[in-house]
Amino acid sequence: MIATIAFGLLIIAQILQSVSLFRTTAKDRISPWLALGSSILLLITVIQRSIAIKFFALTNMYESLLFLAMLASLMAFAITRWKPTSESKALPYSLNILAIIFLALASSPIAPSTIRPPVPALQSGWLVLHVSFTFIGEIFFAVGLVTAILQLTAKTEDNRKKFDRLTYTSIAIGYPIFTAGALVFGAIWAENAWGRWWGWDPKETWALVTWLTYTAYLHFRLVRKNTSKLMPALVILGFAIAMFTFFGVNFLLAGLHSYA
Amino acid sequence: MDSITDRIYSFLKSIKLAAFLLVLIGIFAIIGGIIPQGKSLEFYLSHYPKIAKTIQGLGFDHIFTSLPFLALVALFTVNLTVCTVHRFGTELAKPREKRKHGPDLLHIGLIVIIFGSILSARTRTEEMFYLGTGQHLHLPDKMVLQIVALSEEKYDTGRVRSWTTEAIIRQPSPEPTHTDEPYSGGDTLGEEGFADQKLASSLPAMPAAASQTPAETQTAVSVPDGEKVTIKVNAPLRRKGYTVYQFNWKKTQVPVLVDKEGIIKELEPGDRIPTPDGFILFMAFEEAPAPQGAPVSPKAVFLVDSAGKRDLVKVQPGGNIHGYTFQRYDEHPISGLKVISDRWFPLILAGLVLALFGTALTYIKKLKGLNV
Repeated sequence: MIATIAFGLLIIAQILQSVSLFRTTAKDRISPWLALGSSILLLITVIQRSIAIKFFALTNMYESLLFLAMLASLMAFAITRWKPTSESKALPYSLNILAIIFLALASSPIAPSTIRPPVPALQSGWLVLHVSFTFIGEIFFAVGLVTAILQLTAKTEDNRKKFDRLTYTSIAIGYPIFTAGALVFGAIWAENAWGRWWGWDPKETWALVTWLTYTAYLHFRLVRKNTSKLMPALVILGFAIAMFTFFGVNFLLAGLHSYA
Repeated sequence: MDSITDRIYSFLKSIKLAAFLLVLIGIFAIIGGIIPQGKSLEFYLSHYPKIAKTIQGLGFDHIFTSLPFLALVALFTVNLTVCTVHRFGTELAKPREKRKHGPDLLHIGLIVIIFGSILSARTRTEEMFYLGTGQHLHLPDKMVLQIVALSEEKYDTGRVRSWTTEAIIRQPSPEPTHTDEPYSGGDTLGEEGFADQKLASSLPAMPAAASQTPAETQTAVSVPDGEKVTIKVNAPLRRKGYTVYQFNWKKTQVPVLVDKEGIIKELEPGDRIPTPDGFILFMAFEEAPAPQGAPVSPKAVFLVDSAGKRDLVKVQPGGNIHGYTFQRYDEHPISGLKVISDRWFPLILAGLVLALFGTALTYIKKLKGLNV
C-alpha cells in the first residue's frame, strides 16, 4: 500500500515535470519534493519488510527493485539541490521515469512481493554491503546515462563540455562505489559463504563486464578528452550492461545468483 | 630515433593498449557470460545444436582457462605493471603535495589480485565431505573434526533458516587405522566404525519422517573431549591454513533394527552389529529411497556373518534379520562440509583492499579538482 502511494507521488511528479518541460518560464518546485516523499515512503516499506524478515530487506528481486526506485527518486530530488545540475529538467525527469519503471517492474509478475525470509546463504552483512553499494553505484551510472545522452545530443560545444563533465563526475563517483559493492564486497561474501571469492558465475562475469566497460570509459577519457562520441556511447553501453546484469542474467542465465 | 626497446616500452606502458585490452577481455567475458562453461558436448548439442561443435572447437566452453584469454590477461598484467612502474616514477619526481598515488595503488592492487589468483589456482585444495552425527573427518593439520550435533532450523513457512554443525576438534585416535591418513573423509567402517557406532547408538530415537515438525530438528551425541566449534553458512570455521565451510545439507534414511530385548540400533551404510556368532553389516539400499515424505519401502541390503558363513540379505521394514527385527527407516541429517586450503587468499584480499582504496583515492582527488 505504501509503495503504491509512492508510485502515485512519482506519477504526479512526472505529470508536473512534463508540463514544466513545455513552460520555459515557470520552475517546477513541487515535483522534487514529491520525489523525496516517494523516496521516504519506499524507505518505510523497506524498513517494514526488514522488520518482518528480521534482516535487511534486500534479498530478492522485489526488494531490490524497491530499493533501486527509492535511490532513483532520492537522486531525482538531490539532483535539483546540487548547483551544477539544479537548472536541468532532463535529469530529474529521467530519474523519475527510472523510478517509475523500477516500481512498475516490482508490481509485475517477474518480482513476487511475497515476504520471504532469507535462506542461510543470504544472511550476511557482506550481502547487504554488496547489494546496496552496487545499487548506489548504479544510480550514479544512471545519472551518467542521462548526461551522456544529453552530451550526444547537445547542439553547442559548451553544452557538450558541460555534459561531458557531468557524465565524468557521475561515473567517477559511481565507479568506486560500484567497485566496492559489486566486486570487493561480493568477493568477500562469496568467500565467506561458499569458500571461493570468484567463480565465473554468470552474474559475476556480467558484473565484471560492467566494471570493464566503465574502466574502459575512464581510460579512454584520459587519452581522448571530451570530443569523442565514443565516451558517452560507452557510458550508455555500460548502463545497458549493468541493467542486463541485474535483470537479464536472473531470467536468462542460471547461476548462484538466481534468487537475487 | 627511438630504439626498439624504447618503442616496446612505450607500447607496453600505453593507456591505449590498456583500454584496448580491457575491451578485448570484456568481449571474452561476454562470450563466457552467455555460453555456460565447462559442460559436456552433449549439453551444447542439446542447447546449441547448430554451434555446439564450434563452441568446443574454439574453446568457448572453457573460455576463462583458454590460451587466448590467459594470453590477454598476461599481456594486460605486463601492461599494467609497466604502466604502474612508469607512473609511480613520474609521480615521485613531482613535489609531494602534487603527487597522486591513487591510480598506483589501484593498479598495484590489481596486479596483486592477478598474482594472488595464479598462486591460489595452483595451490588451492578443496574437499567435500558428508558427515552424520558421530562421524569425523581428518583435517589438513592432522586434527580430527568430529560431529556432535546437527541442527536444521526452519521458518514457519518451512523455508530453511539455518544449518548448524556443532563439532569438536580433537587429536586423532592413537591406534593407526586406514582412516588416520591425512585429509581422509570420515567413515564408519572398521574399528573406528565401531567407535562411531557406540556414539550413534546413544542417539535419542528420531521421530519418523512423517511426524517431523518443520520448526527445528536436531540430533546430538555425547561430546568427547576437544575444542568445541560451530560451523554455519556464512560463519565458516577458520583455522591456520584451512577453512571449513557449511556448504550443503542432506537427509539420509537409516534402517532401525530392534533386538529381542527391544534395544534399538540405527545403522549407517557400513555399520556393523556384533552378534553371538558373527555380525550384521548394513551395506546399502537396493534402490535409492524416495525423497522425504514420500511413501517408500526400499529394501535394505545386509551382509550377515554367521559362524564365518556370509549371506547377502535383502529386507524391507517389518522383516527379520538374524534375530533382529527391521522396524522402520529413520531420517538423519547429513552435513555437507567443504574443507578448503587456500593460503594465498589473504594476498588476494590485500589486493582487493588496495584496489578499493586506490579507486577511492583516485576519484576523491579527481572530484576535488573538478570544477562542476
